[in-house]
Amino acid sequence: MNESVTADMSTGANTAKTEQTPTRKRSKKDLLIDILLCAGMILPLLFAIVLKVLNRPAADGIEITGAMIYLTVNLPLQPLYITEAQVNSWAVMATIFFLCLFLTRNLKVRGTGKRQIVAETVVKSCDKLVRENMGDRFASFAPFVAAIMALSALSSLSSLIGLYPPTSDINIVAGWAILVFILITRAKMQGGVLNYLKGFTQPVPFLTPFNILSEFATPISMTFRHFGNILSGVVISTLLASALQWLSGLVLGWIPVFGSVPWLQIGLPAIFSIYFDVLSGVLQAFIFAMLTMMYVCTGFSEEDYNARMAKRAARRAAKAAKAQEK
Amino acid sequence: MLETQALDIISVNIWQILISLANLAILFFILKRFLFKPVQKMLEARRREVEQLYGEAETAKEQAEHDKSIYEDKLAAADDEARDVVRHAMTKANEMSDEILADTGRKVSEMKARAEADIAQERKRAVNALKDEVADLSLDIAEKVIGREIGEEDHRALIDDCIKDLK
Repeated sequence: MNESVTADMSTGANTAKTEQTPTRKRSKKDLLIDILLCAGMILPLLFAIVLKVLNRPAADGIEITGAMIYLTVNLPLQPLYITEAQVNSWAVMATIFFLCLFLTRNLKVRGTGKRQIVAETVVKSCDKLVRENMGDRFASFAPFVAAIMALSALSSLSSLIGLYPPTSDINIVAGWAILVFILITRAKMQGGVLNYLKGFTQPVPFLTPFNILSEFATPISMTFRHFGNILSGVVISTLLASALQWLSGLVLGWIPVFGSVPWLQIGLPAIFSIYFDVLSGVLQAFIFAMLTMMYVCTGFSEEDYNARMAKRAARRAAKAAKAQEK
Repeated sequence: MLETQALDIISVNIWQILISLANLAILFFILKRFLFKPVQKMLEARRREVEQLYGEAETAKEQAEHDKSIYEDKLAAADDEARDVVRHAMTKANEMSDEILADTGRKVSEMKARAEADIAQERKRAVNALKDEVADLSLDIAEKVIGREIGEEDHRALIDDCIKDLK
């Protein structure tokens, strides 16, 4: 890694030497913009960390609670809490936004820059994933699927830098699941609202309440699957940390000064966090995105789509024929 | 440091859900506008450029093949022409040689005929001259022998008969 970076820098220096002065000036400006964009990626997360450090939770120790409340806004129905989870998810969004700007800077048709390759790979693989799983008619869903994956994965991974992962707050994941539910319903209604309503009475009218129930079960199950997985990771990590603290005190507590440091907490939690934070976070993001794709594309099947397109074409042809007769 | 209240571990809040929903929608638009659109625009431009290059290459190839066929045709035509020229030259040469040969033969035979004619004439002349000589001689001799003039005309006829007999 280091070698490649130094090699890059040396080649960069060589080209800068051979280039004319105006291009060097431009590259300096480029560098400044790059630094600003990188700062845009890192600063929101730093801000979230600082905010967390400044606000100590009321209950210290091993108590497992939800997100910290930074601000309470009184609204009808329920007060709005601006919590750690909200702030962190905004920070993640800002990071993704600046990452996008950083990756898509200086895109060239014949470019082979590292950033461009990364941007192309991300876009192409998302597009391919969506086209393979949903078909070409849902190709416009690629950015949405990418957004779900990026937001979910980076939210879960934010626990690696000590932040409260937004995905372990049920409200965050519920919001996503409800948006997905809206999209599923929209896809189902593309076959006609009446057809959609009729679908509830299939295969026998007796099953209608169960069909409605299962319709609402989709977002709820998606929410709890994602939220539960991440939260369980947080819970286990916390339990493990406290257990190791207790064990450390038991084994090394008799040594003055040295024993007061929970030595056993070093190392072992990191190994567990490979699964609970990294693997589980990325896996749940992928599962959430896959479920979204599956639910949306099964909501409106290819045959229905083709039949509808054929019907529309026939109607249009009939209209055109009528217009010609006139 | 602030003492901060925390939420319960599961606490449903409608506003938070709405904000999160909006967050995902906003991120969707961010990704669409700032990642997918520029990259797809670039990919489309690349596809178009590649297509254009392919088209150019194809037309260049077609042009080259066209040129090649023209050159081949020209080459074949030149070959034919050269062969024609050679054949023409050869026939002409043959004709000329035939002509020359015929001419020469004719000339030779002409010359031969003339020579023969000359020879015949010379011979005739020689014979005549001889005849005259012989006649004169015999006349002289006869004059001398007889000693008198004889009628020349009769004499000549006599000698001619005589020579005729000699012959």
